[in-house]
Amino acid sequence: MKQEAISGAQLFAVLFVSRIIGLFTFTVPQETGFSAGDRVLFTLPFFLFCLLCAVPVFLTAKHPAGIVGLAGEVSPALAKTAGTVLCGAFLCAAALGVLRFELFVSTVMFPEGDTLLLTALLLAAASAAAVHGMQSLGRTASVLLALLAASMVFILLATADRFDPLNLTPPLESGVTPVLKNGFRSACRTMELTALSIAPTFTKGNLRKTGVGWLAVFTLTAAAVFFVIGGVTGRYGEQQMFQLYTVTAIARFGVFERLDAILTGLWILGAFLQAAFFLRLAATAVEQAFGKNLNAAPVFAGGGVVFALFLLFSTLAAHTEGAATLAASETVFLLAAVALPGTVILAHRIKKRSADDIPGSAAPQCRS
Amino acid sequence: MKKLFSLILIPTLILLPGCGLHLTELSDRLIIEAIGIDRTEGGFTVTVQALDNLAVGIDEGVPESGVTKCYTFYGTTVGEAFSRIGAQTGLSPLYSQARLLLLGYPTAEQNLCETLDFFLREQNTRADIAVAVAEHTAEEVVTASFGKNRVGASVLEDALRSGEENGAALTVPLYAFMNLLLSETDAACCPLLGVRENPLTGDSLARPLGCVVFQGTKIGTTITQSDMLPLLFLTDQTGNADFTVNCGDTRCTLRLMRGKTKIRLAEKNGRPYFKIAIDARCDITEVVSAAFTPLDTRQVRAIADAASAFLTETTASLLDRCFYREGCDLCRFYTRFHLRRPGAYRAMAAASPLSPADFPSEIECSVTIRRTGKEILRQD
Repeated sequence: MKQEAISGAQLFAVLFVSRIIGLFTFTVPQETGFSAGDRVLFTLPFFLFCLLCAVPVFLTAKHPAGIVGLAGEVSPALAKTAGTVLCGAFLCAAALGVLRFELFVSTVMFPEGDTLLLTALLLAAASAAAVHGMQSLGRTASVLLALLAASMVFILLATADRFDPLNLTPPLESGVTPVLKNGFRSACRTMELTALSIAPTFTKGNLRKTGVGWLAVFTLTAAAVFFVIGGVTGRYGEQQMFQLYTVTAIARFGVFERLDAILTGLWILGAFLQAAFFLRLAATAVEQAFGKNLNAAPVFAGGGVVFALFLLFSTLAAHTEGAATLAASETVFLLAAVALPGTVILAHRIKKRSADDIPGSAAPQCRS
Repeated sequence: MKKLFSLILIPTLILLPGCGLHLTELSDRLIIEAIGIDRTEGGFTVTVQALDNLAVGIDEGVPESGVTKCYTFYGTTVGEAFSRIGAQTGLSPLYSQARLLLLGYPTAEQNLCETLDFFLREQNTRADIAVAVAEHTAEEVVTASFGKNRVGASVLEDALRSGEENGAALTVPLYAFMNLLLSETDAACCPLLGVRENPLTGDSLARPLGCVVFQGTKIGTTITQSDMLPLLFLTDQTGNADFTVNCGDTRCTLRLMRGKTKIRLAEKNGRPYFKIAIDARCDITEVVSAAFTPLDTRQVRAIADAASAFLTETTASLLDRCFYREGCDLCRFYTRFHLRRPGAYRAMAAASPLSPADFPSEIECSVTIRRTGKEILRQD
C-alpha cells in the first residue's frame, strides 16, 4: 500500500480527534474520593505522566524510520519483534476504543437493541478507511476537528447559564492519591502517544512539537470540559455514566435543545476515525517491520482481529466489572509506549557502544 | 475493489434504512408528558400522563377524552412500576418528551433516595425535567383535566414558568434538584403545585402554592407564595416580579425588572461571616394615593428606601426561619465556606459539628427605581 506523508497539522488533528473520543466516554471511577475539583486537577498529572512516557517515544522518533528502523539497526529480529508488538498494541487499542463506543451505544442509543452488527459495520468501514492510507485519515480528521471544535464550543457556551461554581468541590479533599492514580490511568489510555514512535515514516515536520502541542491542547481541553461538567452537573454528574453526554442533554441555547444529538453524531465519527487510525498504524508497523506493502486483505483481517478482541474484552469486562479492560489498557500502553522504546534504545546504545569499541567497525546502516 | 465495496455497501444501505423491523412506530409509543409518584403501602404508584397519539391530529377533532390519557402503575419500587408500562399498555414508553415530575407531598416527607434513585440511574429519563411537589397526591395533579384541547403537563409547566414573570413560582430541573439533594449540607427546594376547580368551566386550574425546602432528603419546611420573592432572592433566581410596599400614606406596586444576589464570605472576630448583597432594579407601576400627583425625586427615593427595607426584612425573616431555625441551608453557606476555605472548614467540622450559628449573616438591599411609570417625574 502506498503511504503518502501527512503534515504535522494533520497528525495533530488525527491524534486529537482520536484521543478526545476517550474524553467523551470518561466515566468517574467507582472508587469514592474523586471529586469534581479533583477531576479538573488530575489533568496536570495526566499531562506530566504523558510527557514522561513520551521521552522514550520521542527518542525513537528521532530516527527517520522510527522505532522499527532503530530496532532494525540492532537486528532484523528486533525490528520484527518491535513491529509485531506495536501491531498487537494498536489492534488492542482499537478494540478497547470500540468497546467504549459500544458501551455508549448500548447504554444510550439502543439500550434494548443488539449492537454487534453496528460494531461490525463500524469496523468494516474503519478497515476500508485504513486501506486508503494515512493521508485520507489526516484530511478526514482535519474536517472532523473543525466540526468537533465548533460543536464543543457551542455546547459549552449553551451550558454557561447553568454553570454554578458552587457545584464544584475543593480539590485534594481525599488526598493526592486519587488524582495521581487517575492521572496515570488516563495517561495509560493515551495509546495515540505510541503512534509517534512510528510516525516519522508518514509525517512531515517536527514530531516533538506536534506531540507536545497535541498533549498540551488536549490537556487544556480536558480541564475545561471537566470544569464545565463539574460546574453544571455537580454531584448529579458524578452519578452519571457519561458525564459529557449528560451536560449536552441539559444544554439549551435559544430554540436549540437536546444538543446530545450533535455529540452522538460526532462521537460515531470520532470512534470510526479512531478505529481506522489504529488499524492504519497496525498495518504501518507490519509494513515497516517486514518490509512489505500490505494490500487491503490484511487490513480487513486486522479489522476482524479487532472485532474478535472486542468480543474478548467485552466478555472479560462483564465478568470483572471492567477491571480486566483497565488492566489490559495499562499493560498494552506500558508495553508499547515505555517498555518497547526503552528496550530498543537500550539495545541500540549497547550495539553502538560495542561497535565503537571495535576499531575500524562502521556504524550500522539504516534499514529503511 | 470498488466493485466489491459497492456490492457490500448497496445491500447494507437497503437493509439498514431508518425504518427497520425492530423500530417502534409512533403509534406504538407512549409519549410521556408528566410523571407522578406516590408512595403507597409496600410500594409506589406511578401515574403517567401521556399523549393520546391516535387522538392528536385526527380530522374529526379532539375527542371528549382529550389529547392526553392517564395511566397508573404499581410496583414495590419506582423502577418496577415503570417496567409495567409496556406490559400493561402494550406501548413502548418514551421519556424524552416528559416535562414534569411530580412527587406527592406525603412521599416527599419521607426519604426521597428511594423514590428518585431510578431517575439517577436510568439513562432514558430526562435530566432537565421540571420537578415539583404536589399539594396532596401526585396522582391528583397529574390526572387533572385542564380542558380537552390542552395537555395537562404543559399547563402545569407553564404555571411553574410563570414565576419568571411574577416571582410567585420557580422551575427546578431534576439534575439541579438532585445535585442539592445529594449534597450533605445544601438544601434543595422545589415548587409546590396544586389544582383548583374553575367554577366557570368545571375544568381544573393549576395553582403554584409556594415551595418546599428539603432538609437532607425529606421536606424540612414549606414556604408560602407570599415568601417566594425573598426565596428567589436568597437563591439568586429572580426574574421579573411584582411587589407592593407602603410608603407613608401611599401604597406603591413595584415591578422588579432585574434582581441580583451576591453572597460574600467575610470574617468577623476570626469567625466566618456572610454578607448578602441584594441589588434590585424596579419600575413603579402603580402609586395608590388620594390624588393623582406626579412623583418628585424625594418621593421616589422614599419609595426606594421603603422597598429596600421591605426586601431586607422579608429576606432576613425567611433566612432566619429556614436556616437559623430549621437548619435548611438555602444559601449554601456551608458549601461556600468549604469551597473558599477548605482547611478552616475541615478544622471547624473536626472540632465540633457545624451548626447554622457558626455562620452569621447580614443582608444589605439596594433598590434602584428605573422608571416611575406614565407619570412624569416632577423635578425639585
